[in-house]
Amino acid sequence: MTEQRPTPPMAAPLLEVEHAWFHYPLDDAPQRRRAGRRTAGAPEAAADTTPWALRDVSLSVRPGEFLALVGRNGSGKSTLARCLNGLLRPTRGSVHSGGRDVRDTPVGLLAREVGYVFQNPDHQLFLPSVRREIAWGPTNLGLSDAEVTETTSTMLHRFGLQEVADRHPALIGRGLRRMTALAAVAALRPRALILDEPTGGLDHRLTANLLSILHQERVDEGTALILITHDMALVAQHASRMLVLRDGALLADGPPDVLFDDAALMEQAGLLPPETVTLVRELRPTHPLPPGITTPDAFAAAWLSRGAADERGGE
Amino acid sequence: MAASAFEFYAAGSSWLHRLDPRVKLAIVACISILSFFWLSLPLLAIVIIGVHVVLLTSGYPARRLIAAWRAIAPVLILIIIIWPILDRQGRLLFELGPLRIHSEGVLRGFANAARIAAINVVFILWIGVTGPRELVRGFVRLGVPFRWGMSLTIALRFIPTFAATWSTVMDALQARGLVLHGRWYRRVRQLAPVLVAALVSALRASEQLAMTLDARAFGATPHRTVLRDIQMRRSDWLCLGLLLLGTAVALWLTFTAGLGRDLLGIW
Repeated sequence: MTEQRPTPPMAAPLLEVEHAWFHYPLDDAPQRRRAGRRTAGAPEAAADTTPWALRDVSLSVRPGEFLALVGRNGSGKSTLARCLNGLLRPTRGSVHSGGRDVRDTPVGLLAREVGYVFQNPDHQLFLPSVRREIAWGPTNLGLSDAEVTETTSTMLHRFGLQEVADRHPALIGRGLRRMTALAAVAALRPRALILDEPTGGLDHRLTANLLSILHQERVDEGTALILITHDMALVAQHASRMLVLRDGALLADGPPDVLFDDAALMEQAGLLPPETVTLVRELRPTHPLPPGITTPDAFAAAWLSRGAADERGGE
Repeated sequence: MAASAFEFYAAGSSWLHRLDPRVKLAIVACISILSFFWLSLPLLAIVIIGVHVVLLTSGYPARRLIAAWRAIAPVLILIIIIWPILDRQGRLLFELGPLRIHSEGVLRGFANAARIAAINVVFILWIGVTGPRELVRGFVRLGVPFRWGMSLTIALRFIPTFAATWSTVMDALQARGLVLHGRWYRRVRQLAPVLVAALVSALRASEQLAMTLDARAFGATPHRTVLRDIQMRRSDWLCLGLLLLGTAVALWLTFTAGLGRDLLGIW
Protein backbone atom coordinates (compact mmCIF):
# COMPACT_ATOMS: atom_id res chain seq x y z
CA MET A 1 0.00 0.00 0.00
CA THR A 2 2.68 2.44 1.05
CA GLU A 3 4.14 4.10 -1.99
CA GLN A 4 7.18 5.85 -0.61
CA ARG A 5 9.27 4.94 -3.57
CA PRO A 6 12.90 6.01 -3.45
CA THR A 7 13.75 9.50 -4.64
CA PRO A 8 16.33 9.62 -7.42
CA PRO A 9 19.86 10.55 -6.34
CA MET A 10 20.74 14.21 -5.84
CA ALA A 11 20.37 16.21 -9.03
CA ALA A 12 20.55 19.93 -9.77
CA PRO A 13 17.61 21.72 -8.15
CA LEU A 14 14.60 22.54 -10.33
CA LEU A 15 13.41 25.33 -8.13
CA GLU A 16 15.37 27.46 -5.77
CA VAL A 17 13.88 29.92 -3.34
CA GLU A 18 16.31 32.20 -1.53
CA HIS A 19 15.20 34.32 1.41
CA ALA A 20 11.86 35.09 -0.16
CA TRP A 21 9.64 37.66 1.54
CA PHE A 22 6.27 38.57 0.15
CA HIS A 23 3.37 40.78 1.02
CA TYR A 24 0.18 41.40 -0.94
CA PRO A 25 -0.53 44.93 -2.21
CA LEU A 26 -1.33 47.09 0.78
CA ASP A 27 -4.52 49.10 0.90
CA ASP A 28 -2.99 51.64 3.22
CA ALA A 29 0.31 52.03 1.38
CA PRO A 30 0.29 55.87 1.49
CA GLN A 31 -0.25 55.94 5.27
CA ARG A 32 2.53 53.41 5.67
CA ARG A 33 4.88 55.48 3.57
CA ARG A 34 4.05 58.54 5.64
CA ALA A 35 4.53 56.58 8.85
CA GLY A 36 7.82 55.30 7.46
CA ARG A 37 8.96 58.84 6.74
CA ARG A 38 8.09 59.97 10.23
CA THR A 39 10.20 57.20 11.74
CA ALA A 40 12.87 57.79 9.12
CA GLY A 41 15.57 57.00 11.66
CA ALA A 42 14.42 53.40 12.08
CA PRO A 43 13.08 52.05 8.78
CA GLU A 44 13.21 48.48 10.09
CA ALA A 45 10.82 49.32 12.91
CA ALA A 46 8.32 50.74 10.42
CA ALA A 47 8.60 47.66 8.21
CA ASP A 48 7.66 45.40 11.11
CA THR A 49 3.99 46.26 10.78
CA THR A 50 3.91 44.89 7.22
CA PRO A 51 1.57 41.88 6.99
CA TRP A 52 4.09 39.53 5.43
CA ALA A 53 2.54 36.51 3.76
CA LEU A 54 5.98 34.93 3.40
CA ARG A 55 8.85 35.57 5.78
CA ASP A 56 12.35 34.67 4.75
CA VAL A 57 11.55 31.34 3.08
CA SER A 58 14.40 29.39 1.51
CA LEU A 59 14.17 25.96 -0.09
CA SER A 60 15.16 24.01 -3.12
CA VAL A 61 13.22 21.36 -5.01
CA ARG A 62 14.95 18.55 -6.89
CA PRO A 63 13.62 16.35 -9.71
CA GLY A 64 11.48 13.43 -8.61
CA GLU A 65 10.81 14.76 -5.13
CA PHE A 66 7.37 14.40 -3.59
CA LEU A 67 6.89 17.46 -1.46
CA ALA A 68 3.96 18.29 0.78
CA LEU A 69 3.21 21.87 1.79
CA VAL A 70 1.30 21.82 5.05
CA GLY A 71 0.09 24.41 7.51
CA ARG A 72 -3.10 25.95 8.76
CA ASN A 73 -5.34 28.08 6.55
CA GLY A 74 -3.61 31.36 5.88
CA SER A 75 -0.16 30.03 6.73
CA GLY A 76 1.23 30.94 3.29
CA LYS A 77 1.03 27.63 1.43
CA SER A 78 -0.71 29.00 -1.65
CA THR A 79 1.36 32.18 -1.60
CA LEU A 80 4.56 30.14 -1.60
CA ALA A 81 3.23 27.91 -4.38
CA ARG A 82 2.27 30.94 -6.47
CA CYS A 83 5.75 32.36 -6.00
CA LEU A 84 7.19 29.10 -7.35
CA ASN A 85 5.52 29.49 -10.74
CA GLY A 86 5.82 33.25 -11.00
CA LEU A 87 2.15 34.13 -10.46
CA LEU A 88 3.45 36.17 -7.53
CA ARG A 89 6.86 37.72 -7.42
CA PRO A 90 8.66 37.91 -4.08
CA THR A 91 8.90 41.38 -2.56
CA ARG A 92 12.40 40.53 -1.38
CA GLY A 93 14.63 37.58 -2.13
CA SER A 94 14.53 35.50 -5.29
CA VAL A 95 12.96 32.45 -6.92
CA HIS A 96 14.79 30.60 -9.67
CA SER A 97 13.21 28.01 -11.90
CA GLY A 98 15.63 25.94 -13.93
CA GLY A 99 18.28 28.60 -13.26
CA ARG A 100 16.07 31.43 -14.55
CA ASP A 101 14.80 34.20 -12.31
CA VAL A 102 10.99 34.00 -12.30
CA ARG A 103 10.86 37.79 -12.19
CA ASP A 104 12.17 38.02 -15.75
CA THR A 105 9.93 35.35 -17.26
CA PRO A 106 6.21 35.66 -18.09
CA VAL A 107 4.01 33.21 -16.18
CA GLY A 108 2.71 31.70 -19.41
CA LEU A 109 6.26 30.64 -20.27
CA LEU A 110 7.11 29.45 -16.77
CA ALA A 111 4.08 27.15 -16.98
CA ARG A 112 6.19 24.92 -19.19
CA GLU A 113 8.55 24.34 -16.30
CA VAL A 114 6.27 24.59 -13.29
CA GLY A 115 2.70 23.39 -13.80
CA TYR A 116 0.06 24.50 -11.32
CA VAL A 117 -3.24 22.66 -10.94
CA PHE A 118 -5.72 24.93 -9.21
CA GLN A 119 -8.11 23.80 -6.52
CA ASN A 120 -11.19 24.46 -8.62
CA PRO A 121 -10.93 22.70 -12.00
CA ASP A 122 -13.55 25.03 -13.48
CA HIS A 123 -11.06 27.88 -13.29
CA GLN A 124 -8.74 26.11 -15.69
CA LEU A 125 -11.08 24.62 -18.29
CA PHE A 126 -12.48 26.55 -21.23
CA LEU A 127 -12.62 24.36 -24.35
CA PRO A 128 -15.57 22.33 -25.67
CA SER A 129 -14.02 18.88 -25.28
CA VAL A 130 -11.66 17.09 -22.92
CA ARG A 131 -9.44 16.12 -25.83
CA ARG A 132 -9.07 19.71 -27.07
CA GLU A 133 -8.49 20.83 -23.51
CA ILE A 134 -5.48 18.54 -23.22
CA ALA A 135 -4.22 19.37 -26.72
CA TRP A 136 -4.33 23.14 -26.13
CA GLY A 137 -1.11 23.35 -24.09
CA PRO A 138 1.08 21.25 -26.38
CA THR A 139 -0.30 23.12 -29.43
CA ASN A 140 0.70 26.40 -27.79
CA LEU A 141 4.17 25.01 -27.23
CA GLY A 142 4.43 24.70 -31.00
CA LEU A 143 4.61 20.91 -31.18
CA SER A 144 3.76 19.26 -34.51
CA ASP A 145 0.26 17.87 -35.07
CA ALA A 146 1.55 14.31 -34.73
CA GLU A 147 3.26 15.12 -31.43
CA VAL A 148 0.18 16.88 -30.10
CA THR A 149 -2.03 13.90 -31.01
CA GLU A 150 0.41 11.53 -29.37
CA THR A 151 0.74 13.55 -26.16
CA THR A 152 -3.03 13.95 -25.99
CA SER A 153 -3.75 10.26 -26.34
CA THR A 154 -1.02 9.42 -23.81
CA MET A 155 -2.56 11.82 -21.31
CA LEU A 156 -6.12 10.62 -21.98
CA HIS A 157 -4.96 7.09 -21.33
CA ARG A 158 -2.81 7.90 -18.30
CA PHE A 159 -5.51 9.92 -16.54
CA GLY A 160 -8.30 7.48 -17.43
CA LEU A 161 -10.18 9.98 -19.59
CA GLN A 162 -10.62 8.01 -22.83
CA GLU A 163 -14.32 7.48 -22.25
CA VAL A 164 -15.06 11.18 -21.84
CA ALA A 165 -12.49 12.40 -24.38
CA ASP A 166 -15.07 14.00 -26.65
CA ARG A 167 -17.44 15.29 -24.04
CA HIS A 168 -17.73 18.85 -22.82
CA PRO A 169 -15.64 19.35 -19.66
CA ALA A 170 -18.39 21.41 -18.04
CA LEU A 171 -20.78 18.48 -18.33
CA ILE A 172 -18.72 15.69 -16.79
CA GLY A 173 -18.44 14.91 -13.08
CA ARG A 174 -16.28 16.94 -10.74
CA GLY A 175 -13.76 14.14 -10.24
CA LEU A 176 -13.29 13.81 -14.00
CA ARG A 177 -13.06 17.61 -14.39
CA ARG A 178 -10.27 17.55 -11.86
CA MET A 179 -8.50 14.82 -13.81
CA THR A 180 -8.97 16.82 -17.01
CA ALA A 181 -7.39 19.93 -15.50
CA LEU A 182 -4.53 17.82 -14.19
CA ALA A 183 -4.03 16.10 -17.56
CA ALA A 184 -4.12 19.48 -19.32
CA VAL A 185 -1.37 20.85 -17.08
CA ALA A 186 0.66 17.63 -17.21
CA ALA A 187 0.45 17.70 -21.03
CA LEU A 188 2.87 20.63 -20.98
CA ARG A 189 5.41 18.17 -19.52
CA PRO A 190 6.42 20.50 -16.71
CA ARG A 191 9.40 19.50 -14.62
CA ALA A 192 7.57 20.37 -11.44
CA LEU A 193 3.86 20.03 -10.77
CA ILE A 194 2.10 22.00 -8.05
CA LEU A 195 -1.25 20.60 -6.95
CA ASP A 196 -3.57 22.62 -4.74
CA GLU A 197 -5.75 20.25 -2.66
CA PRO A 198 -5.95 17.73 -5.51
CA THR A 199 -7.89 15.14 -3.52
CA GLY A 200 -10.59 17.43 -2.10
CA GLY A 201 -13.99 16.00 -3.03
CA LEU A 202 -12.51 12.81 -4.49
CA ASP A 203 -13.58 9.45 -3.10
CA HIS A 204 -11.12 6.84 -1.90
CA ARG A 205 -10.88 5.07 -5.24
CA LEU A 206 -10.27 8.24 -7.25
CA THR A 207 -7.73 9.46 -4.68
CA ALA A 208 -5.78 6.20 -4.89
CA ASN A 209 -6.01 6.35 -8.68
CA LEU A 210 -4.79 9.95 -8.75
CA LEU A 211 -1.87 9.25 -6.44
CA SER A 212 -0.71 6.27 -8.45
CA ILE A 213 -0.79 8.39 -11.63
CA LEU A 214 1.20 11.09 -9.89
CA HIS A 215 3.80 8.60 -8.68
CA GLN A 216 4.07 7.30 -12.21
CA GLU A 217 4.69 10.83 -13.53
CA ARG A 218 7.29 11.30 -10.84
CA VAL A 219 9.15 8.07 -11.48
CA ASP A 220 8.86 7.98 -15.28
CA GLU A 221 9.47 11.64 -16.06
CA GLY A 222 11.31 12.73 -12.94
CA THR A 223 8.60 15.32 -12.29
CA ALA A 224 8.83 16.95 -8.88
CA LEU A 225 5.46 16.98 -7.12
CA ILE A 226 4.45 19.73 -4.75
CA LEU A 227 1.21 19.02 -2.94
CA ILE A 228 -0.73 21.60 -0.97
CA THR A 229 -2.94 19.63 1.37
CA HIS A 230 -4.64 19.34 4.73
CA ASP A 231 -4.80 15.56 4.52
CA MET A 232 -2.02 14.42 6.86
CA ALA A 233 -2.67 10.73 6.28
CA LEU A 234 -2.08 11.33 2.59
CA VAL A 235 1.18 13.15 3.35
CA ALA A 236 2.30 10.34 5.66
CA GLN A 237 1.61 7.76 3.03
CA HIS A 238 3.01 9.42 -0.05
CA ALA A 239 5.28 12.40 0.53
CA SER A 240 9.05 12.09 0.79
CA ARG A 241 9.45 15.55 2.24
CA MET A 242 7.23 17.90 4.19
CA LEU A 243 7.39 21.68 4.51
CA VAL A 244 5.61 23.09 7.53
CA LEU A 245 4.50 26.72 7.30
CA ARG A 246 3.15 29.04 9.94
CA ASP A 247 2.36 32.74 9.47
CA GLY A 248 4.41 32.75 6.29
CA ALA A 249 7.54 31.34 7.91
CA LEU A 250 9.01 27.93 7.16
CA LEU A 251 8.96 26.10 10.51
CA ALA A 252 10.39 22.80 9.37
CA ASP A 253 11.56 20.97 6.27
CA GLY A 254 12.18 17.23 6.48
CA PRO A 255 10.80 13.70 6.12
CA PRO A 256 7.14 13.52 7.23
CA ASP A 257 7.64 10.60 9.63
CA VAL A 258 10.27 12.51 11.61
CA LEU A 259 8.32 15.79 11.64
CA PHE A 260 5.00 14.16 12.57
CA ASP A 261 6.69 12.59 15.58
CA ASP A 262 7.76 16.04 16.84
CA ALA A 263 4.83 16.88 19.09
CA ALA A 264 6.10 20.39 19.85
CA LEU A 265 6.39 21.21 16.16
CA MET A 266 2.91 19.90 15.39
CA GLU A 267 1.51 21.95 18.27
CA GLN A 268 3.32 25.08 17.11
CA ALA A 269 2.12 24.67 13.53
CA GLY A 270 -1.43 23.92 14.65
CA LEU A 271 -1.44 20.58 12.87
CA LEU A 272 -2.95 17.28 13.86
CA PRO A 273 -0.59 14.41 12.93
CA PRO A 274 -2.07 11.23 11.41
CA GLU A 275 -3.92 9.14 13.97
CA THR A 276 -1.35 6.35 13.68
CA VAL A 277 1.37 8.71 14.91
CA THR A 278 -0.74 9.74 17.92
CA LEU A 279 -1.51 6.09 18.64
CA VAL A 280 2.17 5.11 18.54
CA ARG A 281 3.05 8.05 20.80
CA GLU A 282 0.39 7.05 23.35
CA LEU A 283 1.50 3.42 23.29
CA ARG A 284 5.21 4.15 23.53
CA PRO A 285 5.53 4.34 27.36
CA THR A 286 4.26 0.77 27.73
CA HIS A 287 4.86 -0.70 24.28
CA PRO A 288 8.08 0.62 22.76
CA LEU A 289 7.73 0.76 18.99
CA PRO A 290 10.37 1.79 16.45
CA PRO A 291 10.23 5.44 15.25
CA GLY A 292 8.87 6.49 11.88
CA ILE A 293 5.53 4.66 11.98
CA THR A 294 3.00 6.93 10.28
CA THR A 295 0.62 4.66 8.39
CA PRO A 296 -1.79 1.95 9.59
CA ASP A 297 0.07 -0.62 7.47
CA ALA A 298 3.43 0.25 8.97
CA PHE A 299 1.84 0.09 12.42
CA ALA A 300 0.32 -3.31 11.77
CA ALA A 301 3.63 -4.68 10.52
CA ALA A 302 5.55 -3.28 13.50
CA TRP A 303 2.92 -4.50 15.97
CA LEU A 304 2.86 -8.02 14.56
CA SER A 305 6.67 -8.37 14.51
CA ARG A 306 6.79 -6.96 18.06
CA GLY A 307 4.20 -9.53 19.16
CA ALA A 308 6.25 -12.31 17.58
CA ALA A 309 9.41 -11.06 19.35
CA ASP A 310 7.51 -10.90 22.67
CA GLU A 311 6.31 -14.46 22.30
CA ARG A 312 9.76 -15.68 21.47
CA GLY A 313 11.47 -13.71 24.24
CA GLY A 314 8.72 -14.19 26.89
CA GLU A 315 7.30 -17.54 27.97
CA MET B 1 -6.59 43.60 -5.20
CA ALA B 2 -8.59 43.93 -8.39
CA ALA B 3 -11.80 42.77 -6.72
CA SER B 4 -11.92 45.69 -4.30
CA ALA B 5 -12.27 48.10 -7.24
CA PHE B 6 -15.85 46.90 -7.59
CA GLU B 7 -16.81 47.01 -3.95
CA PHE B 8 -18.90 50.13 -3.63
CA TYR B 9 -20.58 50.01 -0.26
CA ALA B 10 -18.74 51.53 2.68
CA ALA B 11 -20.58 51.31 5.99
CA GLY B 12 -20.94 54.45 8.06
CA SER B 13 -23.33 56.50 10.15
CA SER B 14 -23.26 59.91 8.46
CA TRP B 15 -26.41 61.81 7.49
CA LEU B 16 -25.94 60.47 3.98
CA HIS B 17 -25.90 56.89 5.26
CA ARG B 18 -29.02 57.54 7.32
CA LEU B 19 -30.89 59.25 4.48
CA ASP B 20 -33.81 57.19 3.21
CA PRO B 21 -32.70 54.99 0.28
CA ARG B 22 -35.63 56.25 -1.79
CA VAL B 23 -34.40 59.82 -1.43
CA LYS B 24 -30.92 58.73 -2.46
CA LEU B 25 -32.39 57.00 -5.49
CA ALA B 26 -34.21 60.25 -6.30
CA ILE B 27 -30.92 62.16 -6.06
CA VAL B 28 -29.35 59.76 -8.54
CA ALA B 29 -32.31 60.09 -10.90
CA CYS B 30 -32.42 63.91 -10.73
CA ILE B 31 -28.70 64.47 -11.20
CA SER B 32 -28.57 61.88 -13.98
CA ILE B 33 -31.42 63.66 -15.81
CA LEU B 34 -29.76 67.06 -15.41
CA SER B 35 -26.36 65.71 -16.52
CA PHE B 36 -28.11 64.21 -19.50
CA PHE B 37 -29.36 67.63 -20.63
CA TRP B 38 -26.25 69.59 -19.74
CA LEU B 39 -23.19 69.87 -21.90
CA SER B 40 -21.44 72.64 -20.01
CA LEU B 41 -18.00 71.59 -18.84
CA PRO B 42 -17.93 73.93 -15.82
CA LEU B 43 -21.41 72.86 -14.71
CA LEU B 44 -20.60 69.15 -15.03
CA ALA B 45 -17.35 69.76 -13.17
CA ILE B 46 -19.35 71.40 -10.37
CA VAL B 47 -21.66 68.35 -10.23
CA ILE B 48 -18.71 65.93 -10.07
CA ILE B 49 -16.83 67.97 -7.47
CA GLY B 50 -20.02 68.43 -5.46
CA VAL B 51 -20.66 64.67 -5.36
CA HIS B 52 -17.09 64.10 -4.21
CA VAL B 53 -17.33 66.73 -1.49
CA VAL B 54 -20.58 65.25 -0.18
CA LEU B 55 -19.16 61.72 -0.22
CA LEU B 56 -15.84 62.61 1.38
CA THR B 57 -17.44 64.70 4.13
CA SER B 58 -19.71 61.73 4.87
CA GLY B 59 -16.69 59.55 5.51
CA TYR B 60 -16.68 57.70 2.20
CA PRO B 61 -13.09 56.43 1.73
CA ALA B 62 -11.13 58.38 -0.91
CA ARG B 63 -9.42 55.19 -2.01
CA ARG B 64 -12.78 53.74 -3.15
CA LEU B 65 -13.41 56.87 -5.21
CA ILE B 66 -10.00 56.54 -6.82
CA ALA B 67 -10.77 52.91 -7.58
CA ALA B 68 -14.10 53.91 -9.17
CA TRP B 69 -12.36 56.47 -11.36
CA ARG B 70 -9.80 53.91 -12.37
CA ALA B 71 -12.59 51.53 -13.37
CA ILE B 72 -14.35 54.02 -15.66
CA ALA B 73 -11.16 55.67 -16.96
CA PRO B 74 -10.85 53.47 -20.09
CA VAL B 75 -14.38 54.38 -21.20
CA LEU B 76 -13.78 58.08 -20.60
CA ILE B 77 -10.50 58.05 -22.50
CA LEU B 78 -12.15 56.22 -25.38
CA ILE B 79 -14.89 58.88 -25.55
CA ILE B 80 -12.34 61.70 -25.49
CA ILE B 81 -10.38 60.08 -28.31
CA ILE B 82 -13.20 58.96 -30.57
CA TRP B 83 -15.58 61.90 -30.24
CA PRO B 84 -13.43 64.51 -32.06
CA ILE B 85 -12.91 62.09 -34.97
CA LEU B 86 -16.64 61.98 -35.65
CA ASP B 87 -17.74 65.44 -34.54
CA ARG B 88 -16.62 68.07 -37.07
CA GLN B 89 -17.97 71.30 -35.65
CA GLY B 90 -16.08 74.46 -34.82
CA ARG B 91 -12.71 75.64 -35.99
CA LEU B 92 -10.44 73.17 -37.80
CA LEU B 93 -7.49 72.45 -35.51
CA PHE B 94 -5.47 70.16 -37.75
CA GLU B 95 -5.79 67.76 -40.64
CA LEU B 96 -3.99 64.47 -41.16
CA GLY B 97 -5.19 62.56 -44.20
CA PRO B 98 -8.84 61.69 -43.62
CA LEU B 99 -8.53 62.72 -39.98
CA ARG B 100 -9.82 66.23 -39.29
CA ILE B 101 -9.95 67.48 -35.76
CA HIS B 102 -12.17 70.45 -34.92
CA SER B 103 -12.08 72.54 -31.77
CA GLU B 104 -15.67 72.00 -30.79
CA GLY B 105 -15.40 68.27 -31.39
CA VAL B 106 -12.57 68.08 -28.89
CA LEU B 107 -14.52 70.06 -26.30
CA ARG B 108 -17.63 68.01 -26.90
CA GLY B 109 -15.60 64.85 -26.35
CA PHE B 110 -14.52 66.14 -22.97
CA ALA B 111 -18.04 67.28 -22.14
CA ASN B 112 -19.51 63.89 -22.95
CA ALA B 113 -16.85 62.12 -20.93
CA ALA B 114 -17.65 64.47 -18.03
CA ARG B 115 -21.33 63.66 -18.46
CA ILE B 116 -20.69 59.91 -18.26
CA ALA B 117 -18.38 60.44 -15.29
CA ALA B 118 -21.02 62.53 -13.49
CA ILE B 119 -23.73 59.92 -14.04
CA ASN B 120 -21.33 57.24 -12.80
CA VAL B 121 -20.08 58.92 -9.65
CA VAL B 122 -23.56 60.03 -8.64
CA PHE B 123 -24.51 56.35 -8.34
CA ILE B 124 -22.05 56.08 -5.46
CA LEU B 125 -24.31 58.53 -3.61
CA TRP B 126 -26.79 55.68 -3.59
CA ILE B 127 -25.09 52.26 -3.68
CA GLY B 128 -21.92 53.47 -1.94
CA VAL B 129 -23.66 54.60 1.23
CA THR B 130 -26.71 52.31 1.41
CA GLY B 131 -26.52 48.90 3.08
CA PRO B 132 -27.87 45.88 1.18
CA ARG B 133 -30.88 45.57 3.50
CA GLU B 134 -31.92 49.20 3.02
CA LEU B 135 -31.32 48.86 -0.71
CA VAL B 136 -33.88 46.06 -0.98
CA ARG B 137 -36.33 47.80 1.39
CA GLY B 138 -36.08 50.93 -0.71
CA PHE B 139 -37.09 49.04 -3.81
CA VAL B 140 -39.88 47.17 -2.11
CA ARG B 141 -41.37 50.31 -0.60
CA LEU B 142 -41.34 51.83 -4.08
CA GLY B 143 -43.56 48.97 -5.21
CA VAL B 144 -40.92 46.74 -6.74
CA PRO B 145 -41.59 43.04 -5.89
CA PHE B 146 -39.23 41.77 -3.19
CA ARG B 147 -37.93 39.12 -5.57
CA TRP B 148 -36.70 41.77 -8.03
CA GLY B 149 -35.25 44.01 -5.37
CA MET B 150 -33.38 41.04 -3.96
CA SER B 151 -32.13 40.03 -7.41
CA LEU B 152 -30.74 43.48 -8.03
CA THR B 153 -29.03 43.56 -4.68
CA ILE B 154 -27.55 40.12 -5.25
CA ALA B 155 -26.30 41.26 -8.65
CA LEU B 156 -24.54 44.23 -7.05
CA ARG B 157 -23.21 42.04 -4.27
CA PHE B 158 -21.72 39.58 -6.76
CA ILE B 159 -19.82 42.08 -8.89
CA PRO B 160 -16.75 41.91 -6.61
CA THR B 161 -17.08 38.12 -6.40
CA PHE B 162 -17.04 37.87 -10.17
CA ALA B 163 -14.05 40.20 -10.33
CA ALA B 164 -12.24 37.90 -7.90
CA THR B 165 -13.16 34.84 -9.98
CA TRP B 166 -11.89 36.66 -13.05
CA SER B 167 -8.47 37.28 -11.52
CA THR B 168 -8.22 33.69 -10.21
CA VAL B 169 -9.10 32.34 -13.65
CA MET B 170 -6.51 34.65 -15.18
CA ASP B 171 -3.89 33.15 -12.85
CA ALA B 172 -5.16 29.62 -13.42
CA LEU B 173 -4.95 29.90 -17.20
CA GLN B 174 -1.55 31.55 -17.16
CA ALA B 175 -0.49 28.56 -15.09
CA ARG B 176 -1.68 26.46 -18.04
CA GLY B 177 0.52 28.36 -20.44
CA LEU B 178 -1.72 31.22 -21.54
CA VAL B 179 0.64 34.05 -22.39
CA LEU B 180 -0.81 37.51 -21.95
CA HIS B 181 1.30 40.12 -23.61
CA GLY B 182 1.37 42.49 -26.51
CA ARG B 183 -0.87 45.43 -27.24
CA TRP B 184 -4.32 45.69 -25.73
CA TYR B 185 -6.17 44.61 -28.88
CA ARG B 186 -4.13 41.43 -28.98
CA ARG B 187 -4.74 40.91 -25.30
CA VAL B 188 -8.49 41.12 -25.82
CA ARG B 189 -8.30 38.07 -28.06
CA GLN B 190 -6.06 36.26 -25.60
CA LEU B 191 -8.63 36.89 -22.91
CA ALA B 192 -11.32 34.79 -24.63
CA PRO B 193 -10.37 31.63 -22.66
CA VAL B 194 -10.52 33.63 -19.42
CA LEU B 195 -14.01 34.83 -20.33
CA VAL B 196 -15.23 31.28 -21.02
CA ALA B 197 -13.81 29.78 -17.82
CA ALA B 198 -14.99 32.71 -15.69
CA LEU B 199 -18.50 32.53 -17.14
CA VAL B 200 -18.73 28.77 -16.60
CA SER B 201 -17.65 29.27 -12.98
CA ALA B 202 -20.11 32.13 -12.55
CA LEU B 203 -22.98 30.09 -14.00
CA ARG B 204 -22.15 27.22 -11.68
CA ALA B 205 -22.06 29.64 -8.75
CA SER B 206 -25.41 31.18 -9.71
CA GLU B 207 -27.00 27.75 -9.97
CA GLN B 208 -25.72 26.97 -6.51
CA LEU B 209 -26.91 30.32 -5.21
CA ALA B 210 -30.42 29.59 -6.50
CA MET B 211 -30.43 26.30 -4.63
CA THR B 212 -29.08 27.97 -1.50
CA LEU B 213 -31.85 30.56 -1.64
CA ASP B 214 -34.46 27.81 -2.04
CA ALA B 215 -32.91 25.85 0.82
CA ARG B 216 -33.28 28.92 3.00
CA ALA B 217 -36.95 29.22 2.08
CA PHE B 218 -36.60 32.25 -0.18
CA GLY B 219 -40.04 33.15 -1.52
CA ALA B 220 -41.88 30.78 0.80
CA THR B 221 -44.24 33.54 1.90
CA PRO B 222 -45.45 36.13 -0.61
CA HIS B 223 -45.62 38.86 2.02
CA ARG B 224 -42.53 39.04 4.15
CA THR B 225 -42.47 40.74 7.47
CA VAL B 226 -39.49 42.94 8.24
CA LEU B 227 -37.66 43.58 11.47
CA ARG B 228 -36.35 47.00 10.56
CA ASP B 229 -38.39 48.95 8.08
CA ILE B 230 -37.40 52.25 6.52
CA GLN B 231 -39.41 55.33 7.32
CA MET B 232 -39.43 58.74 5.66
CA ARG B 233 -38.52 61.18 8.44
CA ARG B 234 -39.00 64.93 8.35
CA SER B 235 -35.39 65.44 7.22
CA ASP B 236 -35.92 62.94 4.41
CA TRP B 237 -39.01 64.79 3.19
CA LEU B 238 -37.16 68.09 3.46
CA CYS B 239 -34.24 66.74 1.46
CA LEU B 240 -36.56 65.26 -1.17
CA GLY B 241 -38.54 68.52 -1.40
CA LEU B 242 -35.41 70.62 -1.89
CA LEU B 243 -34.08 68.15 -4.43
CA LEU B 244 -37.28 68.14 -6.52
CA LEU B 245 -37.62 71.90 -6.31
CA GLY B 246 -33.98 72.44 -7.28
CA THR B 247 -34.22 69.99 -10.15
CA ALA B 248 -37.44 71.55 -11.44
CA VAL B 249 -35.92 75.05 -11.36
CA ALA B 250 -32.73 73.80 -13.02
CA LEU B 251 -34.70 72.04 -15.74
CA TRP B 252 -36.84 75.12 -16.31
CA LEU B 253 -33.72 77.28 -16.61
CA THR B 254 -32.16 74.71 -18.91
CA PHE B 255 -35.04 74.85 -21.36
CA THR B 256 -35.89 78.53 -21.14
CA ALA B 257 -32.61 80.28 -20.40
CA GLY B 258 -30.20 77.68 -21.79
CA LEU B 259 -28.57 76.72 -18.49
CA GLY B 260 -25.75 74.27 -19.08
CA ARG B 261 -26.14 74.22 -22.87
CA ASP B 262 -22.99 76.17 -23.58
CA LEU B 263 -19.83 74.10 -23.71
CA LEU B 264 -17.60 76.48 -21.82
CA GLY B 265 -20.00 78.71 -19.89
CA ILE B 266 -22.53 77.88 -17.25
CA TRP B 267 -25.23 79.97 -18.93
